[in-house]
Amino acid sequence: MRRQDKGTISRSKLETVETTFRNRLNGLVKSGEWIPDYDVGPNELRIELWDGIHADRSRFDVAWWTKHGYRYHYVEDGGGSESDSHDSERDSTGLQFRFGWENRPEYPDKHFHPPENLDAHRESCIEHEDVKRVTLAVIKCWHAAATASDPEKLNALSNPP
Amino acid sequence: MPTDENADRPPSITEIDPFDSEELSGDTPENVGEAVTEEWKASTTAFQRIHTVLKNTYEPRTTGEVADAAATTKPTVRKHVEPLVEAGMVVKRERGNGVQYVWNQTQRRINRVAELADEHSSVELDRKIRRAKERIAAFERKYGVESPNELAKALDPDDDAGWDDLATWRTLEDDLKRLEAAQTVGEYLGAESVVGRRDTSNHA
Repeated sequence: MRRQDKGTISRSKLETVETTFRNRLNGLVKSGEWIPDYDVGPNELRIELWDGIHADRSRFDVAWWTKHGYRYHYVEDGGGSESDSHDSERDSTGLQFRFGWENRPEYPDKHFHPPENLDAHRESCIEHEDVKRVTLAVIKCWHAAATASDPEKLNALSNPP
Repeated sequence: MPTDENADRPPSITEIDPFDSEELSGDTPENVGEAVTEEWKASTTAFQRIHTVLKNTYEPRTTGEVADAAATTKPTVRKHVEPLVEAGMVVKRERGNGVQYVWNQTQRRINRVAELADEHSSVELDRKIRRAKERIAAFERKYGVESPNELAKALDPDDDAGWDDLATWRTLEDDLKRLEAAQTVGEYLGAESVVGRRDTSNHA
């Protein structure tokens, strides 16, 4: 099966992502950075936050494409470290998860990669395909998990098929 | 933004209440989708939602598709889209079996060129252009092809990283054109630009 072309990175959708994070989480948003450069082939928008589920700092690396798909990759500092978050190396000891939407024949289109196994594809609780509602859902899942310090609250489908 | 003597300290998560609606307060509801739609409706007007949806509509959508994406009705879409069409922001296409709407990409693209020209000196644009070309050359070498279309034909459906790279490559090609257009616009506007370019040259 031919896989669908995603198009290009959508700066317009990512701008909506950033605005939504800032409006909803307010002072919890530490920064929003286009990696590597807004004007030259950005791969993702990096939103750093002043809190996390287990750690004190965290970030979302977000991509949306013009034709199809998105990815919200979440990373926390491992062991509550206070390393400068401009570290380009992902700290793999911290909690991570991903919400994604991709056109893949063998996995659910909209999937969730849980913290305990990043390679697994579970069905995602996020059904929407528009940038606003997807972002609101991601923020809700993160906020619920972070308030309770409990990653189980991330993907509301507790018994995925 | 709250103003108190602790304004330097970032808030703790319990101080932040991201959501207005009942559906999204408390635990994550079983049907996140419906709850999020209710929240979105509670915190926006129909026009705002229609505008957001259309702004992110790159391929033509029918009135019904826009209505679904904006959590509203077709008559409401028809009402609110007209000023956007008149302002040239949305393109309306009449097709045999209905009407389609798409955001006016041309306007957005021209605006981006103008912003780039306005916000960057010629030297800075040169630097960005060089960077774009370097990264494109790196993709050509990595995959042994000469264009994104060639890469698309060669990619294995499972190659996630490859499909990501393809999207980035396409973005780079488009950005390169935009950067070069910005240089031309910058030269054209030159010292007479009324919007004040951060130009480090000796123009008056």
